[in-house]
Amino acid sequence: MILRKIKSPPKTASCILKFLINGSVSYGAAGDFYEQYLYILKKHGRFVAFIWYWQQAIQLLPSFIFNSIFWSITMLASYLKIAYRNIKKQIGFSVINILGLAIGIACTILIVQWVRDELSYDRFHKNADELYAATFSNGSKTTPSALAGYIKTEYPEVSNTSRYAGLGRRLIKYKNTKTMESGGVMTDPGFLEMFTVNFLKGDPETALKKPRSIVISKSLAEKYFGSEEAVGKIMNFQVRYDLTVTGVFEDYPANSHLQFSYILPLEISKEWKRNLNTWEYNNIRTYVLLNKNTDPSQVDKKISNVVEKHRPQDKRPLSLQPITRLHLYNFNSSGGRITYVYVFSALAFFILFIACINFINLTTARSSARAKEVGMRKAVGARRSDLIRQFFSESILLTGISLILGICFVVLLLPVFNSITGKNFSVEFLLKTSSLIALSGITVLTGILAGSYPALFLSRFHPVKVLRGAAGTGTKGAPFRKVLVVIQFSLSIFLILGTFIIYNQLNFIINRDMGFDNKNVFYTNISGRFLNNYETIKSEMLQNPGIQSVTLTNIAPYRWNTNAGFGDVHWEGKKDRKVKMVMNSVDYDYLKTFGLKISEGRFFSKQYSADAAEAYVINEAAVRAMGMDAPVGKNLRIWDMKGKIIGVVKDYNFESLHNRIIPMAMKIIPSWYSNVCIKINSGNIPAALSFLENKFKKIYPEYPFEYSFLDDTIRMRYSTEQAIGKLISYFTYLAIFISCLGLFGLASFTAEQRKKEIGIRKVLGAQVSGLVLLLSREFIKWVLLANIVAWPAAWFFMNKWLQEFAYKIDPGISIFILSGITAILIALLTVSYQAVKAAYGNPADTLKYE
Amino acid sequence: MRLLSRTEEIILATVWRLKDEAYGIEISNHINKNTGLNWKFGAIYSPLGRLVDNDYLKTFEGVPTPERGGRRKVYYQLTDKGIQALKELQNVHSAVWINMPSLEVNK
Repeated sequence: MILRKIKSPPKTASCILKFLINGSVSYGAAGDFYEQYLYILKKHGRFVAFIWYWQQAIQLLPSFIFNSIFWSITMLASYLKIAYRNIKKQIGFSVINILGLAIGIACTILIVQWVRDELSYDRFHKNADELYAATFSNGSKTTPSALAGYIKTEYPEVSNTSRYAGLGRRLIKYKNTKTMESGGVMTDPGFLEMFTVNFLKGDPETALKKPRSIVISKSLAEKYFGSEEAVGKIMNFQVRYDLTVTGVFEDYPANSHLQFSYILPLEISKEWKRNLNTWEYNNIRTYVLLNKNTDPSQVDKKISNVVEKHRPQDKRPLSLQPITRLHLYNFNSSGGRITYVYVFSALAFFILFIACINFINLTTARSSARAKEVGMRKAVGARRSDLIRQFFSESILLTGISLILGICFVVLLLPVFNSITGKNFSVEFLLKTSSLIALSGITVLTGILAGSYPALFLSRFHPVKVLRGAAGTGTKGAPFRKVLVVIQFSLSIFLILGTFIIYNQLNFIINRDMGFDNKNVFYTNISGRFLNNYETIKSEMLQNPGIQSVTLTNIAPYRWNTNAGFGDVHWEGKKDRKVKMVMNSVDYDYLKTFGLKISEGRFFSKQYSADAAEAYVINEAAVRAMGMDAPVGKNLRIWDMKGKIIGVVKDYNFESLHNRIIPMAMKIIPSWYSNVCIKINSGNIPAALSFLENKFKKIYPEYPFEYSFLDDTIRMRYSTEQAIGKLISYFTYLAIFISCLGLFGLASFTAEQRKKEIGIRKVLGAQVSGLVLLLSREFIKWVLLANIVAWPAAWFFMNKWLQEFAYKIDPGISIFILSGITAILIALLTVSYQAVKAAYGNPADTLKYE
Repeated sequence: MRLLSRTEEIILATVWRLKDEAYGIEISNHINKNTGLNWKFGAIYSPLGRLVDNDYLKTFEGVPTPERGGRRKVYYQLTDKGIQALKELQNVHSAVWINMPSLEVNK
């Protein structure tokens, strides 16, 4: 009987059955099941048959799962035992392998964390995407104080604005605690709503409304009030002002371009005669909050000439710079901190890459020695899939150990890393799921890649051939390995070059003669009290043998911000030339204190009574900028101050070597003095300091005695570069170390391979040195190749970095040659150990089995 | 040679008994009916498969029938190795069980 319609059992269930049944009998089983199904179908009907069939399918499931899990675990336990034994057998190798990868992982974790932190600056604000800083075309964020109010009323796209000004060190006092706090700023009340400042106590909307208020950070609250309630208490500011605490906020996060520990309302500065609504000069920052979904470029077009409209001498266009870009990007040039972010990201990638390559190389090299093991296993019944599983579990086990070790390294190195980078990372970030997933992914990937050679290639061997020893091993993949080694060494050489150049540049800067004497120069802020009695105080000081010279100025060297330069300069023969200049207010002893040199004319002198009112001394840069041939005697007018040039001073670097020396004019303007600089004899500095301390305590009894030394300030100015230089050098050592590990492993592998050849050569009379040369020659070739690859890349990137400095070294060819030689030496050292070991081997051992 | 496990023993013995009729369903029913063991129908295929892999059993195929959806019936037969294993087991078994004192424990 031919059935017109085949009554087939449920399709899904039959698939499940086929899957769960042992392969050799599944054909028969399928038929049997079908027979039973029809039988039950006839006897009990469709529904029962359906249920029965599914029952059968499901009933097979538990035992299948149990069996596979049980056997998998048993086999896994066996593989792990073997893996452990293998590791112990070649403990040197294994340690190198694991160590290399662990270091690579640790570096990557640290660097990635740093990069993430840098990229997160200022992104925590609720309004981060709509917050901007008003910036001039030259990158300066210092704007007129009238700007904020004007923008807010004139442009509907603007939701709110706030002015922002830093306070220098100010005296804060509550009961018995008083300190010169440096974290103070003044803002408009709207600041607290525009920027996300998390208030713990008090109301951000009203906290800064009254002029005599202050909001403080949690740390400050604890410092001054302990566990008492801070809000409502009165703190004393700068002796004269009593301020009520109207709010306490959570310590402001470190990843922002702004840093402050207390805020005063800007209104209060009116009390010390500050003009808060003028266009005449720039002294404040203006932050702008735009309405959501407003296109900032539209607003840029509108505000571009606002400042020029109100003050025609300042023609700089104004625009809005997103605050999320402030930390990382320079405004009017490409680059800025973002380059370092890129550099370190690349560094992390390189190091991890090198470490993984290493791991793969070494594991692969080692495993070709296990051909015999493969043969044995196959002879006693292992299937190819078993072998694949075994080799993969071994390599993943190794990478797993490396991962754990790497994480341990990170925990250990975290304090050091924090101190170098100046950040404050804690261990919690390690436990963030995203990082863990990424890391596990990378380690598993490396494990799979490393294990793939033995797993996929070795497992193919025919047992008989392998046990007999005839299988050719290890020749496959050799060119690939060569490429990997070359890549590793190029990266290392690149890093060596980078370190050398950075080191040289920093040395150059720090030791360069800046044109003025900055050793043992003490400086500190002063105010009216000091100035009123200046002459007396100064002569008293000079009587002390420790004090060489005393001078007053408005801004001490290296404290300049020349972005606030101006162009309102007029001189004889100016025509249409434009010039940017800064005004340095000095006194008669400035030249002597700083050891400056005059190149034309003379310096200010008490002998000439007109000097005090009308004399200008300019620097050589000013002469060049103004295009004067004989500056001495020419008229000069800056703003409304007329005068004659009496002398030219030799250029000196009054700000950091990042900038070229800009034109400067010196004049005696006593009302501008705010710093006193004192040159101290190097003989007995502590004695001089205590003398000065006594002096200052007499003048300013309520203020703690605080000062700085100029050379410290200068050194700190370069701290970022130094930190970065340090970091890069550490990572370079690591990269080199890892590459050497790789080379070491590879060399031993090659030596192993050529055992017989070496044995024969020895028998025929070769010397040890000849053999070492023979074996090393190949590697030296690779390292030379790596050099050729690395040099152009290093040249390119280093030049880009050096652009940041106005004064830079010329790298010169010697550095390249030096790094090349270093690399070759390191490689030679690594390889020769293996070569020598092989060369001393007894030929009888290697040739025994021929 | 290693001794057969219990399941293997039961299956091989049944296959021997069933001579030419030994296929999946028949083996399973026979065991369940005669020994009282309540083995699930599908559970027999795992041990059957292992026995085939280890060369205790060999298979031969019958005629395709419509009741099986056009597939052939797969019959199982003992190989020499399988017969050998059963013989050995029988020897060991009789040696162990012959003249066994009663398993009743008298208090």
